[in-house]
Amino acid sequence: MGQLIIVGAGLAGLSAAVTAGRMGIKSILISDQPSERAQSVLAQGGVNAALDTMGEEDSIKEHYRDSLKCGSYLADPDALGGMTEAAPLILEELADMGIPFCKAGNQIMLRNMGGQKKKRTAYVKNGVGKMIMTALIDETRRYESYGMIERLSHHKFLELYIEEDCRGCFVRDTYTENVCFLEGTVLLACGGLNGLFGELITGSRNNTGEAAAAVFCQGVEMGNLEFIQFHPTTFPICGKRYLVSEAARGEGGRLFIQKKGSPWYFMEDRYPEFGNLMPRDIMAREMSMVCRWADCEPQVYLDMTGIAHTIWKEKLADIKAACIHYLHKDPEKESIPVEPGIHYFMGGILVDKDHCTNIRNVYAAGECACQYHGANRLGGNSILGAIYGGKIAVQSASERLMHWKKIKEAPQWHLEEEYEDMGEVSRYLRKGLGLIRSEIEIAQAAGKLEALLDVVQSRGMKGKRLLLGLAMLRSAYERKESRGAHFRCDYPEEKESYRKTTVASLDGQKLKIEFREIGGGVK
Amino acid sequence: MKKKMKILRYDKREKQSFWQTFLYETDDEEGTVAKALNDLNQKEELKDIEGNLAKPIKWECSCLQAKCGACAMLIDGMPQLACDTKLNADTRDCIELMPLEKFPVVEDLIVDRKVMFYNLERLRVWMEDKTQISMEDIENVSEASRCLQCGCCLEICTSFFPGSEFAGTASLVPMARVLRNLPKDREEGMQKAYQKYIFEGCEKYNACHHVCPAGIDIARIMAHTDAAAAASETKRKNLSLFRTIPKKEIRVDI
Repeated sequence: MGQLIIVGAGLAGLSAAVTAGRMGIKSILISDQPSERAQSVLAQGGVNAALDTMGEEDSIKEHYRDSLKCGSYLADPDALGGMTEAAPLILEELADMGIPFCKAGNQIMLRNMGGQKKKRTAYVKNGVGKMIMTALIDETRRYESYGMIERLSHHKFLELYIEEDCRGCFVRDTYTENVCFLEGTVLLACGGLNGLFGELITGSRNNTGEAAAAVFCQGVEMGNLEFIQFHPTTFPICGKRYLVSEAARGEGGRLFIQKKGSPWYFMEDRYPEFGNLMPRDIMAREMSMVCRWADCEPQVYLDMTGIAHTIWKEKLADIKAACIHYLHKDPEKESIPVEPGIHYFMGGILVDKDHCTNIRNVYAAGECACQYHGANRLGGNSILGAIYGGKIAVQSASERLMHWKKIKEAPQWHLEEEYEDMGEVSRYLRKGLGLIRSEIEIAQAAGKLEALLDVVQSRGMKGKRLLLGLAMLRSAYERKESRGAHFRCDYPEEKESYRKTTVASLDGQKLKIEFREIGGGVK
Repeated sequence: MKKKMKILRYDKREKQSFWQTFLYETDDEEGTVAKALNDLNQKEELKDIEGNLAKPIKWECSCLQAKCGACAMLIDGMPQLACDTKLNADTRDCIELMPLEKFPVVEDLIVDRKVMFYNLERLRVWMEDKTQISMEDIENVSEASRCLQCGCCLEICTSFFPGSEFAGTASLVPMARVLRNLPKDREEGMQKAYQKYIFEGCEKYNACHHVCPAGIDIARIMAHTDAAAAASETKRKNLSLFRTIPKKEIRVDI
């Protein structure tokens, strides 16, 4: 039997490692920093599941429909159906791991999040991501002690080793700089592409996008790269953005802008049905638009002064502390300035509903994978997607692991110099892949990146993340419509002919973008 | 704002430590040590205060909002997170950065904190299948779950040192999460481990409580876990307040 190599020790990676342990599969868990440093610890909102504990007659079907609709019908219905169906069980499993979900009696309480009319999101008092990660880290430690999980801390993924199929990967010990080869099936759980976007991100600086770029350059297909979620309510702090959870609006937070000298609650005016709980893509775009209006001041505020003191204490203490710490403003007493920031990558490594990529023995799960979220992710679905995805990937990998044939000779690693300065790259990408996009801006940014790539390659260096960035721009260029998080001012309508998955691949040095039927799997 | 950043560096190839000072200028009054390190490293040519070319400063960084514990280091002698320490916290024109001293240094400000994870495994800090947290313990579990495993508490501790049996607050807090939520057969073992590796070694100075960057109420957690351990000890020795405890004979050899 072969071994499972899991790249990344965040939520998806840990979920996979624990699932493997329970199934009796040994895994190696690679990460360059411990799990406590993973971006997953920042997740604030909660976990969606149609538990229907709030007497609103919620159902799995509605969870499925809301997710599909929010993603503008780009998500794979089969995969999404599986996830929404498994959600109540996953939540139960989490509660059994000792996660202190807020409860009324024995029942888990649920709250409102954007894009969903019914209360469906389980939460904890403070920082749900951190609570889940702590419990999963403990659980992982348990399986480590059983000898089912071997952690390779301070190791960085370098490259897959592909003969016909993938046979393993190369990793580097960041302490000693030694490179070694690990044989086995590779499950990538390496997080979003934050590293390509500099200070505009709300997540971890350590999600560099290097692993995804490396496998892309080795022929792994990427899907829906143009769909980048901007979270509406963020504010800049040193080197990144702080995210004010959607839960703040779920509890009564309201967006406004100064129009002709008085506050205008534009979301409530323009979208009376959902108001401040419209899906994130629409919300962020509205904010960007009203800021450009001549009779409005170019700053949107989040007014949370109407939220009751007990709710602040019980559910939003973290947000209050952050506003006071970073902005020197007490959100209970005054509104805070907010603007959209890059929060989530719906696209990524293209997988089928079993989380297989187009290269045999390579799987992907979590934010690095393109699955479940279509053109826009529903708040509360990311933790769910990461945990569920990790499980499914291991289940489908397990069959192939049973028939693993050992390779005869360990391959050698050849060092290639990689271009690392992302400053310029992220400037171009932010320009080309903003909230509101146009052909000219995308093409200009792509042109600049191509020129930079030429320079890098003429110096004999590799520019893997440049190529991945270019694939993102090309994907956005080719999708000549507006859908979910991808808004083109030159093509503002959604077009049925584009209800397809954008697939980016690299054939030698040539970038290829094509549109494939949804759920059509990988080739 | 102008600051001198005096950094204790470690060259892992030459295996040598040395001090290097950089000049850092920013308009940002809210600027943090983390931002300064990032900005210095992003310079096309990083030069020290004497104009010598310098290699990028190695440090660990992830969330930049005091939620992950990666960037713990000694800032002016105090264990703190670089992302949570403002440059203007001190009026002096020089800030001194050093790697945490209780852990082996890897490179510049990066240290190897594996002893913390080793201790958690040694002490078997995990729950068993199907654990339902009791309502009374929810508060406690939530607070204990917030530990960043950054190592600041061990750095300031007077009892913890590399190789010590005493596992310190970085183990105490995660233990508090599971201590009261274990099946009977494991509970006793955990209590004993707590007694031996935490309770007996701790000098109760509470310095950890004051430096914890997550602001965990360590004093309260400790009182809680100490009480649990003491209760189990009482039970184990079958002591009772209503029983006369035999007096020890005191013999003094002259």
